[in-house]
Amino acid sequence: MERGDKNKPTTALVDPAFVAEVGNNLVKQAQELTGGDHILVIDPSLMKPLDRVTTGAQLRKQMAAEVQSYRDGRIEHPPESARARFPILYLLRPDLRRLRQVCNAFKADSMRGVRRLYLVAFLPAVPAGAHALAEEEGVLGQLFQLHDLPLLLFPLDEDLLSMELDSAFRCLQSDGDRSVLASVARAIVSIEHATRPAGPAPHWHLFGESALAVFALCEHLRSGSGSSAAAAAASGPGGFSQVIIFSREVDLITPLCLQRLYAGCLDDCFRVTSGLLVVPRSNAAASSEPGQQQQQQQPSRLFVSRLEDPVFRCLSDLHMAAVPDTLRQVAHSLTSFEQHGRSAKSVAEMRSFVQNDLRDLTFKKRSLASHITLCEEVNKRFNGLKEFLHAEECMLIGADPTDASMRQSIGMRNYYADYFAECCVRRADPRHTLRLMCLHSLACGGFSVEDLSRLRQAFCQAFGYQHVATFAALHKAGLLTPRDKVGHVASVTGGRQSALSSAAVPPSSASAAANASMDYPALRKRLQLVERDPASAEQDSSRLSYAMSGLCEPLSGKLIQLALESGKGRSNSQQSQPSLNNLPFYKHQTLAQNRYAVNQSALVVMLGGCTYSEVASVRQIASRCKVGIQLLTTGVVGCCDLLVQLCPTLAVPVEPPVQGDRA
Amino acid sequence: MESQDYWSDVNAVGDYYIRHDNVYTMKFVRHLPNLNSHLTALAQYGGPLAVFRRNDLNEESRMEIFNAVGQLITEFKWTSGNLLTMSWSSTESLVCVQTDGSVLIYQLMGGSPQLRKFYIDSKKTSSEQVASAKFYESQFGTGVAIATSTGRFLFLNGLENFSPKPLVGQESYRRAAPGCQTSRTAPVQSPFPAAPGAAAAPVADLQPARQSSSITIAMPHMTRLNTSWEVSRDRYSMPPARPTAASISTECTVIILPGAVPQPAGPVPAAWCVLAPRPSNQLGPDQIRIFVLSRGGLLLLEQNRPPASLLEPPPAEALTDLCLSLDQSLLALWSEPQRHLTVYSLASGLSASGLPAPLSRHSLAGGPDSAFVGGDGGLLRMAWCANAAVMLVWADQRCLLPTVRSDRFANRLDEFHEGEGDSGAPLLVPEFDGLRLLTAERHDLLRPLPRPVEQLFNIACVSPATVLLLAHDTISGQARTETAAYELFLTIESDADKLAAVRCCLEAARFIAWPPDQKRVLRAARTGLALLPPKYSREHRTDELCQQLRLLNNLRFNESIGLPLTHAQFSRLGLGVLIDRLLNRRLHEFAFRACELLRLSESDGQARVMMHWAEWQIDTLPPLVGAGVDIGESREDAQASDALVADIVKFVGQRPGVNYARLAGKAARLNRPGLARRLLDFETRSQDQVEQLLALGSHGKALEKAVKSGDTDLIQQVLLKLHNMRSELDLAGIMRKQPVAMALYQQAYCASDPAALLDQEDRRSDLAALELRRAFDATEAARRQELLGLAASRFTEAGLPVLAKECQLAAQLLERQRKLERDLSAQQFAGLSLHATLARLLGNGSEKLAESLRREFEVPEKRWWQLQVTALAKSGRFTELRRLSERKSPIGYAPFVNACLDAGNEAEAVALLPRVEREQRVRCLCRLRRYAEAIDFASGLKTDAAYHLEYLRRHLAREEVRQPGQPVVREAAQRLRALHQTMAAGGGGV
Repeated sequence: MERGDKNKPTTALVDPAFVAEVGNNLVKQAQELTGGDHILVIDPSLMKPLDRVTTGAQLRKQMAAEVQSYRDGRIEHPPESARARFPILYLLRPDLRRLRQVCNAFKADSMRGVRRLYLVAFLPAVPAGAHALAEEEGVLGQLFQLHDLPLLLFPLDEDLLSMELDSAFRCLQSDGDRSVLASVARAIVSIEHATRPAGPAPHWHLFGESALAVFALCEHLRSGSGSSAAAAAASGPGGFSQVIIFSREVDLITPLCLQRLYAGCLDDCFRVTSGLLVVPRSNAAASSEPGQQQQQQQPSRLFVSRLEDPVFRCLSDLHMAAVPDTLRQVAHSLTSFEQHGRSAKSVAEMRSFVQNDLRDLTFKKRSLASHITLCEEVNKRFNGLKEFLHAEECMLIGADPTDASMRQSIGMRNYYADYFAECCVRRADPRHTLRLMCLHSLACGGFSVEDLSRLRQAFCQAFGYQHVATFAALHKAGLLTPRDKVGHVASVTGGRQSALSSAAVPPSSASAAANASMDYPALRKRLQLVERDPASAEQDSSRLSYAMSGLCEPLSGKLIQLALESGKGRSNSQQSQPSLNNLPFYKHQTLAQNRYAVNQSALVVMLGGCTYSEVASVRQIASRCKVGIQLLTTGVVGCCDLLVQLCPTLAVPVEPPVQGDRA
Repeated sequence: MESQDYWSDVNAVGDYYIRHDNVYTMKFVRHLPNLNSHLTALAQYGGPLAVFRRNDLNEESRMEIFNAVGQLITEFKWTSGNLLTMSWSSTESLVCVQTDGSVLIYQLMGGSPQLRKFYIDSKKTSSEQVASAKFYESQFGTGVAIATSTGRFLFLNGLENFSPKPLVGQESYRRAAPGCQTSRTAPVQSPFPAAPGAAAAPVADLQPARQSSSITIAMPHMTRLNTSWEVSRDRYSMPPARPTAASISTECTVIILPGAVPQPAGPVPAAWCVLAPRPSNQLGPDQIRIFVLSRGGLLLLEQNRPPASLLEPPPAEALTDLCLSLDQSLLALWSEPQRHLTVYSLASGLSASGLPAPLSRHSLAGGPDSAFVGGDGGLLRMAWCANAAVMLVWADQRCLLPTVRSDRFANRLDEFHEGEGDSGAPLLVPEFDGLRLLTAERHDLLRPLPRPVEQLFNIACVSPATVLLLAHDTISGQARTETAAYELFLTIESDADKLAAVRCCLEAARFIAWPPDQKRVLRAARTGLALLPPKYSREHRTDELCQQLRLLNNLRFNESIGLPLTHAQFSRLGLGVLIDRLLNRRLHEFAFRACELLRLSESDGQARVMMHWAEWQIDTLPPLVGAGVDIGESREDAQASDALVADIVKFVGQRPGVNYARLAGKAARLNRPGLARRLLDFETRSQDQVEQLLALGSHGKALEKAVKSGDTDLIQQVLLKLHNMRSELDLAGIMRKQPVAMALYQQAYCASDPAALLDQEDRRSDLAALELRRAFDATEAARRQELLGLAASRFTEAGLPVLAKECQLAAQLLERQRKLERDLSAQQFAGLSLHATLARLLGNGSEKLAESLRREFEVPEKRWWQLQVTALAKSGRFTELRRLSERKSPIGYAPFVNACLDAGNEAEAVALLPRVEREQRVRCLCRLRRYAEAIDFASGLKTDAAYHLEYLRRHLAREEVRQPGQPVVREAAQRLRALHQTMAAGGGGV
C-alpha cells in the first residue's frame, strides 16, 4: 500500500459536476432530438464510452422506450409491435459503414410499408460524406435526419479525460482528416469554460503541427463565442495556467514500445477499452497464446481506473517487476484489516465494521484476486515477447544487440534485417514484428531500400500478399520509410514524415548543417534521454525512465516535463538540463501576461492518443513539478494500436479463408 | 409657458379634464397656407406629415414630407398614377393608394417604392376603380381596405410583412442612367412608380402582366388574403332610402352619401370603417369586418356571410358618418340632419342581430338653450380623443363631445389660438392617449388628464400631492418660509399618503411636456421620497425617468428632429422602435447618443446604429454599370470602395452585433462585388463570411476561409455546394490548393466511388492499394485473382514495378494453390500464405512440390532452410529432420535444436547438439537446462568466454526469479558465482 500511496493522485482539476453534466447533456440533447419516447440503438463501439458517463438503465429510464445495440456488427430491427411507430434514434460513431447499415434498415422498413422517423446522431460530429451518402441512398428527408451530439469527453480516470476517438491517429497521420482537431479544440474550450469562466490559460506549449492547428482553432472558437483572448488577462488562479498540446507525430516511438507498467501491460495484453477490462471470472490463468481470443466464459468487468478501484490505484503506475510484491503487501494489509474487524469486541464495533468496512473489504478482496490472476497472465504473455523486448531496448538506447562474435561478422542493421526475416519465418506475431520494424525505422536510422524490399517480401510470403498494402500505408504515415545510402529519409511522394525527422540541433551549433537530418538519435543525445545508471533508475518510481525499465526516458514525457519546467523558471540545479529552444516542432504561445508566477495546474492534451505508460509519466512529472495536471487525449492506445489503426488488415485473421475450386 | 397656470389650459369635457397643449408653431405656414387644399397624411406618435400637391396644369405633382414641426425632410416628384389617398404605416412608411388599385409603399426618406396591387380590373367592368380606401392597424401590421366604384371591398393585411427585396425589374429601374427622366414619358396609369429623381424603367418592366406575376412570386402568401366581397342587389335587401339627403344609385343598392369622401360617380358607400383583426375580437389574419353606412342604416359586412343590418334608425335620423376608436371598443355614429352623436360600446362583442344599447347620445341641434353655435355646412372630420371624447370638425368650427353622456362639452376649441389666420379646419390624428390637431399654423395635442395629474393640479382639490408640491415650492423659495414648508409637510401624516403624493408627482412628471414643470414636479417627488424610509427611494428610482424625459425633450425641442412623443407613447413604442425611427430619419449620431444615455446593450443599440449608418453609406455609393456580373472595378471605384471600407472599419469596428457579412450582402445587391469582398475580410463569423463569399461566386476564397476556420462542418457545407455548382474539373482545381478540404472531399466522395476520385486525381498508388484491399476482401478465388491483376497493372501505372510484381506473385500463388488443391485432393491451400503453403507441403511429405514452389517464388536459401526445419519438426518428421541436418546448413544448427525443443522432442535436440556452432552452443544448452555443461563449455572457450558467462549469469538470474527454489538453477548459479570470484581473484575480468 505504501508503494501505491507514493503515486498520490493529483487532485481532480475538472469539476466532477462538469463531468456528471456530460451524461445529463447527452440525455437532454437526445430528448430534444426525439421529443418523446423512442427506440435507442447504440453503436457497439459507443457502449463502453457511454457507460463512463451514463448507464444503460439510466438511458432506458430517461431517454428511450427501448435500448438496443448492434449484434455481430448488424443492426437489430426493432420488433413489429405497437412500438414500431416510435422513432428510432441511432447513436453512432462517425463511420459511414454504420450509416449505410442504417440506410438499409430504413429502406427495408419502407419496403414493408412502415413509416417512422429515423434520427441518426453522430458522436461527436457528423462525418464528412454522411449527407452525400444518405442522399445517394435516397433516404435523406423528413423521416431520415442526420444530427450530431457533441459529446466530447469521457472521464476514464480522475485526471484522465478521453475523447474515445479510436481512429484519431489514422485521420491525422494518414488520411489528412482534421475534423478530429476541431473536436479537440471544442473539448479544450469546453474544459476552459468548466474550469475557468474568465478566459483561456496564459501559456500554451505546442508540440507539432497539429497542436498549432488546435491552438488556432481554440482561438477561432473563442472569437466565435465572444470570449476573446483579451479575456485571458482576466484569468484567475482557479484555472489552468498552462496548456501543453502534444501531437503524436512528434513522438511516434513511445507508443510503439511495449509498456512495462502495470496499467499499460493490461492494455497491451487484454486491450482495455474505455477504462473497462472484460476478464474471465474464473480460469483466467488457463490462458492462450498472445493474439488468440480468450475464453469468454463468465466474463466479468474490471474497472481500470484509480477512481473506482483502490487496489488498482496501488498498482497502476508500478513496473511489472514490482507488482507481485505490492500485491503481496496489499493482501497482507487486507488480511490484517479483516482480522482487526473480526476481532471487534463490542456489538457496536461489529455493526460498524459490517456496515462500513465489510463491503469495501469484499470489493477489495475480489479486486485483488482479479489483479493477481491478471498479473500472472501478463507475466506469461510477456515471457513470449521477451525477445522483442530485448531488441526494442537496444533500439531505444542505441545499444548493440548482437553477440560479440556476430558484431564482427555482420553490421547491426543487417542483424535487425535478418532478425525480422527470421521472425517472419517463425510466424511470430505479425503486429509485434511490424511494430519493431517501425521502431527500428524511427529510432535507428531504418533499413536500406534493399533491406526493406527484402523484408516486405519475407513478410508478404509469410503472412500473405495483402500486406503489400500494409507496407504502403506504413510508408505513407511515415512509420516505415527507407533511407538512402547517406542515411536520409527518402522523400516519397505522399509519404508523411514524423516530426522527428526534421528535428535539428540548435543552429548555434557548429555542426548545424551536418545535423540537418538528425532524428531520434540526435534528440536522444540532446535531451539526455538515456539513463546513466539504469540499475537504480529501474527501482526508482519517481524517475521518468521508470516507465522504460530505467533504460531511458520516454521522449513525450521528457518534452512535457521540459515545457512545464520552462514555465516555472529554472533552479540552479537545473541549469544543465536541456531546453526546448530551437526545436523545430515546438512553439510557445502566450495569450496574456503571466500574472501568476507559480504554476498551479496544466492541461496536457495528447493528440492522436497516448498510452497508459505516458499517463503514468505525466503523473510523475506532476508530482515532481508540484503541478496539478489534467490529461486530455483523443484515446488511450496500446503498443500495437497505432499500427492496427493504419492497417486494418492487421486486425483481421492473418489468412482469411477463400473458396477454392473444390467448393 | 405652462408653469403655474397649468389648469388654465384644461377643459372639462364630460367626466374628463382634457388638456390642450400647443406642441409646435408650424414652420411651413408661408409655404402651405392651407393644408385642406392638398391631400395630406399625418402619422401617429408625432410622426411625419406627407403633403401631396397635385398640379393638374403641368402634371408636375409633388410629394413633400415634413416632420412634425413642419421642416421639410424630403420631397420627390410624383410620376405614378392617380393618387387617391395615403397614410402612414406603423413603421412610418408612406402607403399610397391609387385609383387603379396600386398600393405604393415609400420609406420615410423616399427611395424606390414597394408595390402591392389590388386586382380590381375584373372581367365584368373594365372601368372599375378604387373609390375610397381605409387604413387600419391589426396585429399583423398595417392593412389597407378599399371600396371600388362597383361596390366591392378588398383588403390587404400586413402590407410590410414581406422581404425587403425589391421586386423584379426594380433594380434595373434604378440602375438606368440618370437624366433619363420619364415622369413625362411614363404612362400615367403605370403600376410602376418612378423613384424620386431616378429613372425610367424599360418598357418590358412596365407590363402589368409581368408586374402581377412578380407580386405573386414575391408574396405568394399574400394572394390568399386578397379577398373581396361583391355588394350586389341580390344579396342586399335594404329598404329604399329616403331621397331627401341621399342620392340613390340606380345600378346598385348601395347608397352614396355626400360629405365624407370625395368620391367619383358610382355606387360607393358613404362612410365605412374597418374592424381589424385584433386578439380581442378573435379575427384571423385573413378576416376583417366592415361597418358600412348604407341608406342611413348601419351594415356589417363579413366574409362568407350575408350583410347584417345592425341599425336601422328612423328615416329622419339617417346616419351620415361613423368613427371607430383606435382600440375598436367604441363606435360613434353621426346623423347630420339631426346633429345627433350616438356612441356604442363594442367591448362586449358584436353580434349580427344588432348593436347594444347606446352608451351616450348627444344632440347639437340648434335651439334657444343650446350652447352649440356654428357648424354650418357638412361635417368635415370626426375623430376620437383617447376614448374620452369625439372631436367633430366643420369647415368653420370644431366641437368636442364627451363619450359618456354629459352636458359638458367644449365648443370652439380654437379660442386658444393666437393670431389664427386662414389656416382652415385642422387635420385630426387620433393617438391612443389623445388627439393631434394640425393646421398650417399650429400643431396641438389634446390629452385627457390622468387621475394623478388631475389630483395634483386641480384647483378645486387638495390632495397630499398638492400639499407636497406646495411644500416643495415653499422650500425653493417661491412661496413662504421654511417653517411654513415644515408645517405643510406635517399635514401629510401617514407614509401611505406621502407615498401616494410621490407617485402622483412622478406620474405627473411623465405626463407634463414642459421641462420646467417636469423639473418642478420631479423635485417635489424627490423631496417626498426624502421624507420616506430609504426602501421607497430604491423602489422609486427617478434617474431612469429623468433620462427618458431628457431624451423626449431633446426629441421634441430639437426642431431638426421634431418628434413630439409623450412619455406614454414612448413607453408603448419602446426604445428599440424609437431608435429605428431615428435611424429612418438618418439621425445616427442622435440615435447613438440615445443608446448611450439609456444604456442599451451594445449589440441592440450602438452596433445597430453603426450598422445602419454603414448600410446607408453603402447605399449612397453610385452603383456600377452591369447587371449581376462581376465586371471588374475601375480604379476610381476601387479607390472609393477602399475609402468607404476604411471609414466603416474605423467607425464601426469590431463590436458585438456588427455583421460585415450583412454589409457585404448589401454591397453585393448594389452590384459592388469588390466592395463586398473587401468588407468580408473583416467578418469574424466564418459561417456568414463563407456563405456570402459563395453568394458572390468567390468559391476558392470561400473554401479557403472555411478551411482556415477549421470548422469541418462548414468545409463540408462549402464542398457540397461546390460539388453541386462546379464541374469536377473546376472543383479539383479549387481543392488542390486546400489539402484539408481535399481529404474531406475524398472521404465524402469515397462513400460512393473512391476509385473514380483516385483515378481522377491520378493517385495511382492509392488506387492500386484500394484494388489490392478489394482483392483480399473478395472471398471467391477467381474474383480475387482478377482484382490482383488489376492492382498489379495499377501499381505498374504508378511507377511501382516492385509492388506490381508482388501483386502478380500473389495472383500466381493463388493459381498454384488452386492447382495444388486439384492435384492433392482433400487439402485446402487457397488463401494460405506462401510459407504456410510450403509448410503444409513439407508436412505432407510433398517435398518436390514444395521445392518447385520455393524456386518459383524465389524463397531465399536461409529462409527455405528455416522453413524446412520448422515444418518438419512441427509435423513430427524427425527422421527427415536428421537427414536434413546431415547436409551443410546455411542457418547453422541451433534452429534445429530449437525446433525440436519447440516440438517437444528433447532427445532429438540433444542428439543434434554436437552439430551446433560454438557461439550458439551455450544458448542451446541453456534451453536444454544443462547449466553445468553450459558453464563448463563457456569457461573453456578461448574467445568470448566472458560474453557467454555473462549471458549465463543473466539467464540464471531470470530463471531464479521465474522459478524460485529450483535446485538445478540454484546450484548452477552458485557455481557460476564461485567461478566468477575465482576469475576475479585470478585477475581475469568477466
